Amino acid sequence: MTIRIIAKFKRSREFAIDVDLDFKGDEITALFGKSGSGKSSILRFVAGFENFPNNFLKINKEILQDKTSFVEPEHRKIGYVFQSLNLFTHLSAEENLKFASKHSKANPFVKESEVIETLGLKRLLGKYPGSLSGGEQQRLAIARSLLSNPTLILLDEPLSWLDSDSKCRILNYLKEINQRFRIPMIFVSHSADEVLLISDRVYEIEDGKNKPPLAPHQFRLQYLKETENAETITIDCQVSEHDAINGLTRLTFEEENLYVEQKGLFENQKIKVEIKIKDIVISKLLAEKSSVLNQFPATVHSINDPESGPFAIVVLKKKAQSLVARVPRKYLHVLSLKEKETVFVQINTLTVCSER
Amino acid sequence: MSENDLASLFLTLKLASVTSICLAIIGTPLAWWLSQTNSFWKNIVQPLVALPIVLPPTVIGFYLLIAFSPQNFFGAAWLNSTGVPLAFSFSGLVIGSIIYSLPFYVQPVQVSFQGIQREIIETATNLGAGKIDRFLSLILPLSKKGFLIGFCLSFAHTIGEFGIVLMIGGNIPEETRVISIAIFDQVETLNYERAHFLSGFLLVFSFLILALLYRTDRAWNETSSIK
Repeated sequence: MTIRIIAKFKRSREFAIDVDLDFKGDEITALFGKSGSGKSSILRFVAGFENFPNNFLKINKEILQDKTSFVEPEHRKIGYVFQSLNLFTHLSAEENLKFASKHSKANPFVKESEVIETLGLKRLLGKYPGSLSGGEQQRLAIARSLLSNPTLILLDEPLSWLDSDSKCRILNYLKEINQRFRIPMIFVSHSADEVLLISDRVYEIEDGKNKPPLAPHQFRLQYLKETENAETITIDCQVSEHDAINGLTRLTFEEENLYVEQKGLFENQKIKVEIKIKDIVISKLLAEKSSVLNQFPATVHSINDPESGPFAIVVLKKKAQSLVARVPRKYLHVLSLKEKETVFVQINTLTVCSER
Repeated sequence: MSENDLASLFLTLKLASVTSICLAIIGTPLAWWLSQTNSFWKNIVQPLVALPIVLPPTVIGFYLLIAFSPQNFFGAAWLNSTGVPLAFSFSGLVIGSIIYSLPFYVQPVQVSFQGIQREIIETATNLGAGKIDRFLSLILPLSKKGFLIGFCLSFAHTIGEFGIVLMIGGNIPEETRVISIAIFDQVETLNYERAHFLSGFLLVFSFLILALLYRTDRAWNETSSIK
């Protein structure tokens, strides 16, 4: 299955979309870019909600739009999971699913029971969307889209409402759906982390135009080049409590404790913490007798040795969040890091970002 | 209650029911169009729909009376096709009431329609639902509150109609003598006892409609917040 999208239209007076995209079937393709770069407009075009003349869309030999024809959105077999999910609040979870399955005309190759099982929705069927958590709503929206029996699924920022635990789960579900039901997906994201976790191909979209597609490892290198020049990274934490005796505030970061000097934070407040990349140290052993303030295990995600210069870049994962460390190439062979290996991250100075 | 009063009451309820049903048929597409369009014509149609709220009923009645006259196009066309003139007839009252109560139906329904996000409808479209299906299974249930309010208000408003009826309907028993006219009649002839009775009846009846309306509205809000 191949998908070809050629789209040229003006979204507003100043902003034009001009893309030529090629997708392979059975793949998860990411459209990566800043918000406002035109990613969502492309999805809307594919779904049939932007009818501008002289555009071209072909999926699997079927022309959905060209100079003379336009297939109405309700007749396209394209699932679209909006960023706002748009669950029908007057219907129960089960009725939401029924809404989709009653309209799917083709022989369903996606079995309802299988979808419910894959996405863990069985005990939620009787509930109404308003009483579901963010992750549950997201799963329901994906399931509903699947049950309309699409040949392609579009996902607009599918993880934006979720905490990092749910993010991991949904990403795994998406992978599983992609492989199990052999449905290609195009998903839009502004987070390089998400793109790296899930996609088989990446199109970077900038100002309504696409760059040539990248394989994940190419994208990672490019992304790392940008982070290499970056001085800092940010992570999401939650404030747990003030430790008055030691004059520190305890934060939780993916179930690990971190300490900052900052005062005046509220309990349970969600904050962004900035770390200077040069302050991140990797150790294979837990430093027991050390003055380091923050120490926690993390998984090595990738090791990128540029084969010149003083530093290699190591990307570490802590659940869905990632950290970047600069390791002197001098010690690379001493550490002999391997992907998926657990190491200890040591950080002394964390800075709480003031704006949140 | 005398036979005349009963006839007036029955006529009033009949007028209100017919008017509300006609409004549901005419007003719903109009409200939908107003809620969705960005066309130039909205600038004209929207205030036209709202006019009966601000205009004295006598003004509307006066223009309707002129339009109903067989010397004018509309009145003549009606007379030719039905054989009866519009002025001082029940049909004329219905047309007057529809115009008079139009904003009370269209506005709440339009607000409800506007409250449905475009993306919700697009989602239904994406799931394969056609126009009619989207309207029946999505737009209708999501704006049921607007329909209820619009229907009840136009019904209650038609019951309370007086000025227009006086202008275009007159006072013909079982044809145009609605309850508000009957009350006026009783007061004119100093028959305060009958006037009291009919007024009291109308007061309680209107109160009950509104109480039921607000109660249902609250019940729907509660169930949707549980959901």
